[in-house]
Amino acid sequence: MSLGPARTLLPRLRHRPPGRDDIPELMSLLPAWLGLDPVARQALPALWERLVDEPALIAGLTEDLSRPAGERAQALGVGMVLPQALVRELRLDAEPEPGIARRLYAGLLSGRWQPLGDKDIGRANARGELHLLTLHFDMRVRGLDDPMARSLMIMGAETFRAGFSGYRSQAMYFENTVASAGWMQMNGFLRRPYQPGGQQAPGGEPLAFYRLTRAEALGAAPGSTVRDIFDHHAPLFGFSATQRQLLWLSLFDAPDELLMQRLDVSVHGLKKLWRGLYERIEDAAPEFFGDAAGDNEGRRGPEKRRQVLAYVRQRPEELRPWA
Amino acid sequence: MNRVLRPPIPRLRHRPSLREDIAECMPLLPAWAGLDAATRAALPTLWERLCDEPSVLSSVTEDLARPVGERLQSWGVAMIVPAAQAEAWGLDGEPRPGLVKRAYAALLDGSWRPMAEREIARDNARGELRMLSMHYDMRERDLASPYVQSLLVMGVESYRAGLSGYNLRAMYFENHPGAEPWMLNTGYLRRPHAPGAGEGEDGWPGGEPLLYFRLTREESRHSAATSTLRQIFDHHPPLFRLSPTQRRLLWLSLFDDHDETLMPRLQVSIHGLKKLWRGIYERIEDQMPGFFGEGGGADDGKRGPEKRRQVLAYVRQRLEELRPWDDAR
Repeated sequence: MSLGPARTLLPRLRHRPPGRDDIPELMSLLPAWLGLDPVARQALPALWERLVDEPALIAGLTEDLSRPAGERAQALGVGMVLPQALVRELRLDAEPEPGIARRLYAGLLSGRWQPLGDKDIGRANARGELHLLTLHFDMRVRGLDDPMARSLMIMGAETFRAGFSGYRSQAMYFENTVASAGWMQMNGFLRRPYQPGGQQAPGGEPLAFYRLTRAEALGAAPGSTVRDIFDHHAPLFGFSATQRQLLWLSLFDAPDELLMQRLDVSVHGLKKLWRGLYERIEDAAPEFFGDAAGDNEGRRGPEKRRQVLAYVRQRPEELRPWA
Repeated sequence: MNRVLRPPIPRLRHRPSLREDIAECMPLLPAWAGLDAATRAALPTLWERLCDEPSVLSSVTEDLARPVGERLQSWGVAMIVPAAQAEAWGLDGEPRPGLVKRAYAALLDGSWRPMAEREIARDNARGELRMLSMHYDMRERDLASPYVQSLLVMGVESYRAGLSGYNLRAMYFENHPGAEPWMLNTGYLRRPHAPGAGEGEDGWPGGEPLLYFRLTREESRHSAATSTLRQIFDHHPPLFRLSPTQRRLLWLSLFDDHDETLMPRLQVSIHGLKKLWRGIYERIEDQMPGFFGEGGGADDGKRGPEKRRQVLAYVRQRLEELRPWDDAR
């Protein structure tokens, strides 16, 4: 999407999941406080190529459409669904050592840790035992007096809500700079201590560790970002993994060409996926499409698609694995 | 064999309220507003008029798992208030209690005329808009109930969607004390009522003490960027400058109104509706020539649904495009 020349000064921020094409631009949004060494940084683009379609990865990119292509990425947030064993190893439910994201990247790069698969996430989700770690969030503009930085933080909160809502999490974890403490606490996170006498922060900048459990969140008044993310209902439709991915990408207006590429299907395969999705919905909620139900001659397809997207946008549990 | 009946999974979703909702909304007028019987009886007719007013922001949360006629679970109403009215009611100072009661009385006797599109547009461009949240209430109110907590979470979503994109100068809300934690979490600051509130002529309208909350744009700038209100105050000017009908079409479409529902609400035929969409695409292409990508200008009809999706995905995150705006000198 390119802009006309006259209005280029108005920021046009929007968030979406990153794709493979974004990876080179995203590397500059890895915060220095992660303390990644040059070898790890060099290996990350290839790792991200693998991670980008992993169901355990929850990433959100904020771009400014008023900027030229190649300079649009303004903020990046990255989270992951973690296996219980890794939560124990990193001591996330107790007092971890600083440098959680660095250790996680190292484990992924060495192959010692594998991202959880769709079925594993589905099982943990249905049991309410999901553990969500935010690895990092960073912005190109960081001066908090800058209105652009404030708008980016606001869009960051939107991204966070969109990415993490709909999971039945047991706990959420976040390591961030001490300078971000106000933002973190306003979001609803609670600051926790590190292991006494543990190692120093890897990037030289002091870090703080945050955690919020479901029990803590549901005991607090609604209204904060993280508290409200914990609100959860079971899904109704039981979509397949591909159907969920199709819906998730479609929420951010991915064109059919990109959907076909990301889902590795032909245009006919894509149509078949949508049809399967409508049938699934009609099975579970026969009245869902109203008068359009059962009309399968094609012309109602776009209308059905809009109805489905409008629904799942407000009911994101339908987009998460559940077994 | 007897089957065990499980309670249905709640299917909450929020959307703008419609004329057809008015009867179901009336029980969701909170008792603390202290509306007398005559006012309550007159409100359905008043709401018939208010439904399409650009200064009235009214949304409902419905539970699709419940039978038709029993779906509305909460109702929230806000109104854009002219500066003179805000001054008369002391909204920027210490108001007398009973704002909702006075607002409905003024709307009913005609002493308060809802702001017109042009007035809103002018004040919006100047950053002079004032937003009064009149009331928000739920069918169930037990805050320990997970269902009620989910309604509150959806209420925040609805509030953000309804009020974002305006260039607000201040937001006001009078509410009951039970709502205070929610109010503070969303970013409001508690303010005093006028001295003597709750006594004599200034008694609590519904018998229950009330609290008054306010947040100005200036105050919001100094608060953390994550509260709901801080997010609502964040604003950029619109780029497309769409017409009122185009904006209304987009706003309703965000909540997936069918073409059959949109036509009567916008008072257009199916051809009129198509023309409106074409006008939106042309306007966008004028302002952002690359918006629809390669071949975006091709108007052979088959790209219509795709263009509509692209536009809706964009304005959903850039709500200023859907608000009145007039910065003509």
